[in-house]
Amino acid sequence: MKTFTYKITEEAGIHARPAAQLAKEARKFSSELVILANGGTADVKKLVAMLKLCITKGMTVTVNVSGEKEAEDCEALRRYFEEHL
Amino acid sequence: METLHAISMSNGIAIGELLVLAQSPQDADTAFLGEETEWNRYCDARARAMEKLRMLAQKTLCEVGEEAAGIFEMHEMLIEDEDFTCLVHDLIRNNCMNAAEAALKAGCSMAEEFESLESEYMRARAVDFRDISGQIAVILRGQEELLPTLTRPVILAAEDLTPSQTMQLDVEKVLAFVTHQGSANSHTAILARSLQIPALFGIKPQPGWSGKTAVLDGQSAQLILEPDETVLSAYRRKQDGQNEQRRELQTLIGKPNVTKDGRSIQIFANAGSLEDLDSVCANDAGGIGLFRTEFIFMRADSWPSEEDQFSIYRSVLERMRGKPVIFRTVDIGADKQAAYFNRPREENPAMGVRGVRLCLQNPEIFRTQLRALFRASVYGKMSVMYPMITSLEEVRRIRTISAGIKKSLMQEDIPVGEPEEGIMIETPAAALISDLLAPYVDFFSIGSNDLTQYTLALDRQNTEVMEFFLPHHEAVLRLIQLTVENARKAGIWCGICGELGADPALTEQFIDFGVHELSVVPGSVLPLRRQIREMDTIKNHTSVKERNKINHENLCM
Repeated sequence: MKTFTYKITEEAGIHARPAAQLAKEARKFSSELVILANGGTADVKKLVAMLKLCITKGMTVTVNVSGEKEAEDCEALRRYFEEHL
Repeated sequence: METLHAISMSNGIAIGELLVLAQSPQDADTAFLGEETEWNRYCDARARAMEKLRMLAQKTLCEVGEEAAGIFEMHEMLIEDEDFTCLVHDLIRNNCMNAAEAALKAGCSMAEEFESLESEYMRARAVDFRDISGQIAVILRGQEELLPTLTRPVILAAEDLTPSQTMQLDVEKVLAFVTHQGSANSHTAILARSLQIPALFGIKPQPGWSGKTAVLDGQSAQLILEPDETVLSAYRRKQDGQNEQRRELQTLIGKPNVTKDGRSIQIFANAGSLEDLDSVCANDAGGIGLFRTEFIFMRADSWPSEEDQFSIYRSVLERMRGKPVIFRTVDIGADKQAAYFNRPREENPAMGVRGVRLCLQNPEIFRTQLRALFRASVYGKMSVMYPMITSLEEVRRIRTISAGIKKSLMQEDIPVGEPEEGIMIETPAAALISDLLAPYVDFFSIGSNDLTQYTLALDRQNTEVMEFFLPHHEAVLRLIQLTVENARKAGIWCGICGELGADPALTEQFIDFGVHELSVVPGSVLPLRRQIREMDTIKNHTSVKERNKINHENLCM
């Protein structure tokens, strides 16, 4: 399993639109993606589960990536976070 | 003629014929055709619903805009969501519900989960689940044709109107709408404002209304049934005037506040309550330059708790979605009183215990508010400003207190954002020593109303002295200029809140001074933007100087 942590800088946090885009992006990866934030966890590919975490700007989240292509996927997802969130 | 009072979702005036939408029958059949059949029916309906949503998103993108279209893209993803789909499947398999029932029940459960969340924004998403599950049920029950085809412009009245229903109508023919259910923060409200259709909620439509003439006034939140000729013609005139002006101003939404020669200034809005946020957003303010926290205290019966304050500050930040909000700490005293404040009568309250003086004398009140503010600061872009500053000593004391509160929050493991802390410059003393104050703060905000009152020794509540009141008095303008200059030298920004900020005669001068931000009533944001965009400060430079000279001469006479 690979992991990274990231502090959310997107003003709106992971609200509706950013969350929808993230879930869409996550589905392109074959790895299993779990986000830990606000004392809960969610599958990054599931929009509703992620919304329920109420992730806002300034929060630090951890993402666990596991699967055959975990190293590659972890790096790509981290880049997505940096660019969009 | 009958006047009904409601709550406004979107401003404007509409005059026209009412059409009451029939409510969809809820007692649909509960026949269960077996697990496999019901599941297949659900999957078909889901595919059809998603196709419809894609079409609606496309239509909305063309007719309304990207933000509104996003509602339907979001809905499509919610329908696709695995958790939601699993729930429907379970209900069909384990509870022998038919596809429509299962969809409605699953939507209801998801909505309830969202309703229990802390964030106001997420709570409002509950409606989305009720909407999408309703759409699937409508398809399954063959009720898709329930929405009428509009043949002529009408004011639509309905028990409830979802965004998808709204967009399925021919919106060109919807003059306005009024619903029983609703909320100012709902997608339907957002849609109404984007479409610039006046809308109200909180009135239960009666079937007999269809065909009657009505006036819907979004501003005063009234629905007038069968208005008489006098009322009707008065509203017609009002509508014409508003339409003309609004058309012009609406074209400025999303445009920067830049003069022809490329100088820019921020235009923020003042707000005093959560209800003000709608007009702040609708008028495209860049942020809130003055959020008066007093309203929370004036409306309460006792000192509001940290939790109560926290949830309000958080809601404000969330609804502003990352745009800056400057909260002014409680400025009670003087003319702002409530019984529980229990203040002794003062001989001269304007010069008495008010603003930050009251906070420094009552550390508990101050501490509670600052804790609530700092806790909320992670939910958006927050600044805090302190009113009624006269000395360096006060600023030092405040900063010591605020630093202590931040530290103790962190020790409790409560996250704190990075709120800027600034002061109001509203006494001549503060303006004159603004060079000394600047190193201790992140920004200045000039409160022009009090600055004028204290500089000119004129009580603005006292009508007897009005004849001596000169709104553009050179003394006040010099204090403003000095403050802005000292801010610039210290590398901090300086804004103006108060009536002078919205005074069109001074805008150019303020830009010349180097004022960074003007905070004005929401309704003035767009008119001010129009003025700035038409301005050419290089071309007008001499004329400003001349005007100053004339001002000066007038004063010397």
